[in-house]
Amino acid sequence: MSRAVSIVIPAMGDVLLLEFALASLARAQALRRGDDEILVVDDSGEGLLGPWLMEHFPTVRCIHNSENIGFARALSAGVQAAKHELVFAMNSDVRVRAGFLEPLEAALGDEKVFAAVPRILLDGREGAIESIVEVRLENFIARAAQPLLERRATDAALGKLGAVDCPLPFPIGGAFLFRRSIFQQLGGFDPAFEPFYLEDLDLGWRAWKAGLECRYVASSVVEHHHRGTIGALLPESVVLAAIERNRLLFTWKHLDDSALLEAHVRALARRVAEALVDEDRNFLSALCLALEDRLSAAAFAGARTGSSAPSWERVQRACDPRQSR
Amino acid sequence: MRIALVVHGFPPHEHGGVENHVAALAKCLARRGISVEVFAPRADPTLREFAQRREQRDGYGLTWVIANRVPQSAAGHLDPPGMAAAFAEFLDRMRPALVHFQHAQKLGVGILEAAALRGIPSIYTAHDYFSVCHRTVLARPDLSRCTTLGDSRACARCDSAVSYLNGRKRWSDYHAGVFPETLVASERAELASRLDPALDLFNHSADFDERERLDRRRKQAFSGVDLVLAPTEFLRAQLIAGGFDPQRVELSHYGIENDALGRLAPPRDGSKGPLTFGYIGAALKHKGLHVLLDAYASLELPARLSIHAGSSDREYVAELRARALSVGAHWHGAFGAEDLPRVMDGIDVLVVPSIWWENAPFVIREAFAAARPVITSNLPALRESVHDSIDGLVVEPGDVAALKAAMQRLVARPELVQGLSSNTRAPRSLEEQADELVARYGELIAKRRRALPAHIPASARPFAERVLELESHTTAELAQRAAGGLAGLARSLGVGADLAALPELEAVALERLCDARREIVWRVAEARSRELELERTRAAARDFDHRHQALVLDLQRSVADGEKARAAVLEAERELAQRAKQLDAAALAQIDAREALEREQRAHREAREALAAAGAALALTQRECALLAGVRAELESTLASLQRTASEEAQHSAVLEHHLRETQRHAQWLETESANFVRRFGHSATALQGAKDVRAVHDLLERVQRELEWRRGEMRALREDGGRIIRALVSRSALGRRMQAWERES
Repeated sequence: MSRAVSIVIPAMGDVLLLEFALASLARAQALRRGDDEILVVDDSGEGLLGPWLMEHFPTVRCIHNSENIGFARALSAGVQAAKHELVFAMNSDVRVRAGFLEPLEAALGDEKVFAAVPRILLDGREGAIESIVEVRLENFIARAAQPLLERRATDAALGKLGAVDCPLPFPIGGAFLFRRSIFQQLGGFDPAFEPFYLEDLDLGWRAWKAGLECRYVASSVVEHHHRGTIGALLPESVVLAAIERNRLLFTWKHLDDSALLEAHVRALARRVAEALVDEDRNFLSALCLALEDRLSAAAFAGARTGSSAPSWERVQRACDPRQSR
Repeated sequence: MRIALVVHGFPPHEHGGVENHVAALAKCLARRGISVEVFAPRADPTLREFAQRREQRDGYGLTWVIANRVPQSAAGHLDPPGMAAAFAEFLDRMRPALVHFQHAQKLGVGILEAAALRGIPSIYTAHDYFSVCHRTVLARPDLSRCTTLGDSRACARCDSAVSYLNGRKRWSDYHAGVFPETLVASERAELASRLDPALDLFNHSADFDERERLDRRRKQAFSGVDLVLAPTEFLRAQLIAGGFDPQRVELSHYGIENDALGRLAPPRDGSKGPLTFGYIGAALKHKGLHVLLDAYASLELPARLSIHAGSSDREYVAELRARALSVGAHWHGAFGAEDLPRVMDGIDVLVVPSIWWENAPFVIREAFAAARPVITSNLPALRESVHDSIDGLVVEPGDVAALKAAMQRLVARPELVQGLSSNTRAPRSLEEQADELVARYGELIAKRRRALPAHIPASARPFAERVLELESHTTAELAQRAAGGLAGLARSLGVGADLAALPELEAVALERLCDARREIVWRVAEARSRELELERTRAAARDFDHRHQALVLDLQRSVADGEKARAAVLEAERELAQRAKQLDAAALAQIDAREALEREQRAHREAREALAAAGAALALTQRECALLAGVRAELESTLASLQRTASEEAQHSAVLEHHLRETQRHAQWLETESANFVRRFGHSATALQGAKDVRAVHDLLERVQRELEWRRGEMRALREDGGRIIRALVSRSALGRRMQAWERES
C-alpha cells in the first residue's frame, strides 16, 4: 500500500510552467489513494503564486517567502513544512507521468536508500535520461557528468544504463523522492553552495558517506521541460562562476585522499598559470570565489576527516551507476 | 584605479605634439598611483595586422597594436576594419575602469563603441577636428580653410576632391592637401570643379549619401563618450557646431612639462648677434613652413632661421629642405622630446605660421615656458594662446609680407623681443592637468559604476556582485589573487609543504608571465616572419645555387662541347680539304657536264624553239587555212555569184542573141521589105522615110550588138579578174609558198 507523499515545488513566477507541472501531478494523483499533499514554495519574493494557486489549484498549499531565497533554501522550507516523511522534490518545469511515485516509494522501502530518483527525460525524449549521473575527477577537480546526455549513438560501453535500476552518486534536485527525516539529519543543503548548482551532489555524497544510498528507479518516469530559469535571469559569467566554484568547493569538501589532494592543488597551481596565459578568466574568477568561500566550506570538513566515513574512493566506487543492480 | 590612454601614435615611433604629450601624461598619472595602460598603433610590415605587444614603461604599460594598412577612403579612416575588435581584446585583457581617448585617428571610431559596449566610461580629448571630420584639420584638399563644418554636402564635395587626388599616384603623399598652383591647368580645373558649390554634383548622389552615412556613424560612435575635452574655446565651439551636445564638451587646457624649459636662459634680443627665429613642429603643408621660408628669404636685415621639423610628407619635406638650404636657413630635422630644451635654447623667437584652423599647439606653450615670444597666424584658436604685441606678434595666415614685416620688426627692435619675452607667462603644468584629469576620472567612474540588472533574483545578487567585482580585475590580478589563496588552501588541506611557496607567484611575476606570453606570441610572429624571410632567402639562395650549378654544368658541358666541336672542326677541315680536292675534280667534271648540259640545253632550246616555231607556223597555217577556207568560201561564193551572173548574163545574152536574131530576122525582113519597097516604090520620099526607119533599126541593132559585146567583154574581164585574184591570194600566202616549195621539191 502506498504511503502518503508531500510533493514540494519551489517556484519562481512562471505560472504557465507551474500549471503544466501541477496538471501532470493532478492526473497522476487521481490514480492514487492516500493523503498526498502538494506544496508550492513561492520563491518569487513578491507573493505572485498564492492568489493564482487559490484560484486554479485550491488544494495546493502555498508557502510564501517574503523574498527570493533560492532553490535550495526554498526546497528546504518546503521540506520543513511538509506533513509526510516522504517528500518528492520537484522543479516547476518537471511534468510527471502516471505511476511515477509508486516505484520510487518501493525503492525507499529499503532502509538504506535515502533518495530514489525517477527516469528524468530531458524534454520528454526517451533516450535523454538526465538522472543517470556519475562523479569524475577531471584534472583532479570533481565533475558531475550525465553520460546518457553526453554519449554518442555508437557508445556501446553505456550498455543498458538507464534501463535498469542502479546506484547514483546523487539525486538531481529537480525530481527525487527522499526521506524527510534523513534529509534533516544530513543537515539539508549546504549553504556553501548557494546561490545554486551542485548542492544536490553534495547532499547525495553526504548521504553515501553516512552509509546511505541514492538509487535510480527506471520504472518511474518524469519529463523535464528545461526552461533554464537561472540562465535566463543571470549573466552567463555568473552561472559559469557558480558551477566552477561549486565544483572546487565540493572537491575540497569531499576529496580525502592526500595524494589526490596534493595532485589537485598542484593541478590548480598549474591551471592558474595556464589560465593566465590563455586568458581563462572564468576559471580564475571561480577559483578566487571558491578560495574566498573556503572557510565556510571547511566547516563541513568533518565529513571528510571523520574516521568512520567511507573514503572518496569507496563512495565513488559504490555509487557508480554502471554497477547496476 | 586603472585607466587606458588611447592615442594614434607614441614615442619612439611617433614624435608629434600629441604623442609626446600623452607619453608625458601617462608618466605623470603613474606617479600619482594611477595604473595606466597606453594603447597605440604602429606599423611593422613584418608582423601580422593587429598583433599586440605590451611593454613596461616608466611606471605604466604600453600596448602596441600593429596597424600596417593605410586607409584609402573616408570610410576606411573612420572605421579601419578589425581595429575595434583588437581594441576590445585589449579592454578585455586590461579591464580599465575608464578609457581616455587622446586620438582615434588610425584606430577608428569603433574603439569608442568597444568601450561603451563594455560599460566602461570614457573621455575623449579633441586635439583636432577628427571628432567632426575624419580629415582632422578642417582644411579642404586645396588647403583652403573649411568654413562649411556640418554641411554634409560640402563635405561630400571635399571627399570627392580627396578621392580625385588619391587617384593620382604622384600625389599619394599629399596629406592634408595640395597647393593648386602646383597642378597643371586641367588638374587644377578638375579639383576646383569638385569643390565648387555652384557645380553641386552631389545632390542625391552616392557621394553625398556616403558622407551622410559616415557623419551619422561618427556621431553615433562619439555619442558613447561620456565627456569631450577641448583645449581651446574655438575648438569647443567647432565641436558643438559639428553636432556635439554642449553639455558634454568642456574646456580643459593643456599642461606641459615646463621645469626644464623654465630653467633656460632668456632669449637673445639680437643686439649681440643675429636674432634666431625657430620653427619647431611637423613639416606639413597646412603648418605653413613654406610661408616662413618665403618671409625669411625676403628679410632685409640679418637674422637666422632654425628649423626643427620632419614629417612623412616626403615630397614637401624635400622641397622645403632644399628651399631652406637655398635661403640660408638651418634645417635640423625631427628630434626627440628629451631634446626639446636644447632645441628651444637654440632659438630666440618661435614662429608658428599655420594656415589651417590651428588649435592649441603644444610648442607655443613650450616656447612660453622658455620665455620665447611667438609670431603666429591670426586665427581664432591661436589668438587664445598668443596675444598680439604682448607675448608675441600676430599676422594674417599665409601673408608672406606681413610675416616678413613682423620678423623684421623684431630684428630691428631688440627691446621689443625683450618686452614680449618678459610678458610671456608659464603655461599650465602637466601636474596641474593630471590633477584635473584624475578628478574627472574619479567622478566618471563613480557615476558609471556598473550595477546589476534589476531582474537578477535577490538570492543570487550577492554572488553576482562578487563575480562582477572580479570582472574589473585584469587576468593577471585574478591569477595573483588565486595563486595567493592556493597556498592557504594547501595548508588547510594539509598537503605538500613545498606548495607553501605558491604565494611567491606574485603579481609582478604573474604579470610578467602574461606579458612574456604576449611577448612570446609577438616574438613568435616576428620569428615566423623572419623565418619566412629566411626561408625565402634560403629558397632564393638554393635557387641561386641551383642556377649556379646549372650554369657551371652548362659551362662545363659547353667547354666539352667546344672541345668536341674544335676536334670536329679540325676533322671537318681535313675532310673539307679532301673534299675540296674531290670537289675540284668533281667541279671540273661538273664543268664539262655543265658544258655538255648547256649544249644539250641549247640544242634542246633550239629544238624547243623550232618546235615552237613549227607550232607557231602550224598555228599560223591553221589560221591561214582557216583564212583560206574563209577566202575559198568567199571565192566560191563570189564564183557562184559570178557563175550565177554569168548564167544570167548568158541567159541575157541568149535573150539578146535571140533578140538579135529576131532583130536580124526583122532587119532582114525589113531589108527585104525595104528592098521590096524600093523596088516597088523606087526612090520616092516615102521610100526615103522608110529608109530612115531602117537606118534607125540598124543603128539600134548595132547598139545592141555593141552592148552585147561590151557585156561579153565584161564577163570575160570578170572571169579573168576572179581567177587572177584567187591566184594572187594563193600565191601570196605561206600555203602558196609551201605549195610552190612542194612543187619545187616535187
